[in-house]
Amino acid sequence: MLFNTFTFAVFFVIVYTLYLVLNHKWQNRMLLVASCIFYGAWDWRFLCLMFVSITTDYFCGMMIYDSNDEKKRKLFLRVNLFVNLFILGFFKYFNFFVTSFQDLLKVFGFKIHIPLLYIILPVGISFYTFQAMSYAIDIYRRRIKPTRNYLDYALFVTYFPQLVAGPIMRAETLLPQMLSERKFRLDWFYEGIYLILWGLYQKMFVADNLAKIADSAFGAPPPYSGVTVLLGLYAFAFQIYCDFAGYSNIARGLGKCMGFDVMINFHLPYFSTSPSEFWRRWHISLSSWLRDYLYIPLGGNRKGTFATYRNLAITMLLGGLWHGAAWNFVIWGAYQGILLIVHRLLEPVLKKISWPQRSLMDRVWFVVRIVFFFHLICLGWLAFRSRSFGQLLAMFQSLIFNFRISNPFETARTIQRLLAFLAVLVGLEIFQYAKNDPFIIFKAKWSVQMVFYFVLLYSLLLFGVTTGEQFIYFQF
Amino acid sequence: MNNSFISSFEPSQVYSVRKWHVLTFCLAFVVSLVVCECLNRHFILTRSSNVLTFNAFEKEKKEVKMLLIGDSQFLDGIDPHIFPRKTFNLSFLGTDYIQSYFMLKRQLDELPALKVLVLQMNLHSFSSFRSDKVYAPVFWNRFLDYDELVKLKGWPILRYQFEISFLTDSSGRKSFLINLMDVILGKNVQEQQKDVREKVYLVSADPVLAERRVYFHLKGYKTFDVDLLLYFEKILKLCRDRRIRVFTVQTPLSQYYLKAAQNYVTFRDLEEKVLLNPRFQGLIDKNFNYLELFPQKDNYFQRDGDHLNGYGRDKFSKILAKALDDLTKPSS
Repeated sequence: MLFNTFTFAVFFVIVYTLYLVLNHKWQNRMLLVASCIFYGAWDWRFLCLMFVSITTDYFCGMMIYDSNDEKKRKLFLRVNLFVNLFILGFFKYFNFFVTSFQDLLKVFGFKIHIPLLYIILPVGISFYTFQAMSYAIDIYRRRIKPTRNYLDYALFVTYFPQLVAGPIMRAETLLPQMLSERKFRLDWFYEGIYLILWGLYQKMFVADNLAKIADSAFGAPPPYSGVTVLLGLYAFAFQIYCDFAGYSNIARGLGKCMGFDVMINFHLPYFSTSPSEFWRRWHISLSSWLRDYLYIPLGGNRKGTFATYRNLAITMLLGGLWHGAAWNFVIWGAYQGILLIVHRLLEPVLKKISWPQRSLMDRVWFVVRIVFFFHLICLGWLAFRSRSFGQLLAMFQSLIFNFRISNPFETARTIQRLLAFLAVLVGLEIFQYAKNDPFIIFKAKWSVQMVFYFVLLYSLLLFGVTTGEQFIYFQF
Repeated sequence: MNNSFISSFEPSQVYSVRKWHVLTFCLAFVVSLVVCECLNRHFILTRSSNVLTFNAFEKEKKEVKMLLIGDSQFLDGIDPHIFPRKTFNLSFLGTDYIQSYFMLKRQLDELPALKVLVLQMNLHSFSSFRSDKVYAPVFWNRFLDYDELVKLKGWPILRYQFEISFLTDSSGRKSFLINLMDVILGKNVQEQQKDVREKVYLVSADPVLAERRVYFHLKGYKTFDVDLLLYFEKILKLCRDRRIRVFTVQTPLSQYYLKAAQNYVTFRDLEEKVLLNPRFQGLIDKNFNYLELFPQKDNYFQRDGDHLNGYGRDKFSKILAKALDDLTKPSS
């Protein structure tokens, strides 16, 4: 079931009506059933798989917490991690590793045939397995206590707003909200409605319309013109951002309406001036997960310069692989790792470039850094979106050696469309950034707010893609 | 109810949203929808290309000898002025055989000179992709027999009769935007086509767009919908009863479209299900298969996967006009 469909709207109205009138205990039961229906609407068979993970986490969590024997605690943690990683590895990465292994052997002249699996990737598997693993690790680290109620734990994993595409919530923030009574706060309700509407706008108006431009650029056969590739990259950069941020905003909005505080997942990422800042703003729940459960356990930046760079590279490579079982995601992850390392190397030099605060040059330098870093990010999206290594190379070459307009009429039209679809988004985000307030719109005069909501609603009604396009991150 | 979520209500402490602001907004939004609908019906639809085309047809219909019926592929693909005898292209965007039947049923008796009907029959023509939708319903309301359609399709069709706003329907929104552009540009379809002809040569047929068009037409749909076959037959019988000759035509498609469409339907399927089907024997005078008329020249003659551009239209219209003229000269 997709957030941008009429079916989901009906589903949520029914769920919310029941939610309003039920007490806490029955709210949780009803939400669990609703979440199972939400997930089962896609493919009910994979519900069983999710419950294998849930049951393992539930029992392992209690065993880890109750035992005082360190060996036993470690054993149950390993069992938990093994089950979750096995599910993830088997369904998501088996074919990738087998074909990569076969290709590697072919290079050395060996030919072997290992049969591939013809199974579909369960939706949201990367999200809920990571959420489940963090639960067990946090119990092992004695940061949280396990829940003794199986149904409450099941709801923590399956909670439908964030089940299939995150944010990847931690048990220490979401579980207490599940276990205690929630209140109907009018402020949250307002914010929730705004986030749902803004998320739908990001998805149906911006992302789905920009998808057509990006698909045309990446779907066309070579030779490529540099300008077309660049415009396609701009379109994809905002498509993937609005697609994913839109989903996260709707998830947060639904949560807020129900009294849950679902974490912010995107915080104006294209205003970043460095790779480390970008990862503090982009897919925050994943980057903080990778930081806490991978980068820091590897040693973080505590074991010298080389170890820091190595840890960054490993974390980003695995972060890339998390996105999908394909080499382009690995390349994208490696590229992000290189950006982080190079930026760390250049940091002392960059710090020396400074002008008096709030001077014109200081502001210009700030904008230059944003624009420059945005283009570095776009270069990363080239690897992310390319369908093959050959295409990646050909498109990259066209950006460098063939930067010309092949079709002025079509290029002008594409620029017009990009500007039209991005105007409101960029305008609002500049205000949000300047005032450092994601809900800046509530502070505007009511007449301005009214015009803003009119623009959103009419953009959705007239130009929104209403065919229920899938969210990109569902495939991850 | 005592412990329910709603009973835990906490008033707003951060935002000062007043009730009357919300009410005013809701009211203003509903009023704006109604205003849009009125504007659409009275100022935009009356000047839409559908209405302008039909008005022009009303003026000329007594003299029309050959009638072209199809959807946007026919509308964009054939210039009736190239034909030697009085020909009218009565094609509309998003039309199917069901709509065409209802229109012809009303019109045929008022066309004394009509001798030939040229009917589009492309790979997607029998696909159920729009069989429960009515494109531009306000225009089609004047022809459609909703009682008959509701019996055939049920509720999806019934809603068109009671539609409050075009904004609630995706095809309504699309036709509104197209019509709005017509009104803003102040041009009818023929004039716009001339305009586009200058620019369109620069646009190459795009494999992604072509594939998307194939998905739009064929993916997940019945490729030979029984209702569409039934109404196709009804059109043929209407013509037979009035001694009007019927020719079917497949307009040229891009190689990308044809390749992608192979997974769903091919010309052989069309032959098997329609052209060689005993049910339609004797009802179609001749079929013209121009699907691959412009092999390897998509970039010159196609606007996208399945529509011809200005150059393609000129070339194709001349070829079709000659072929039809040879067959329908009074001596033949």
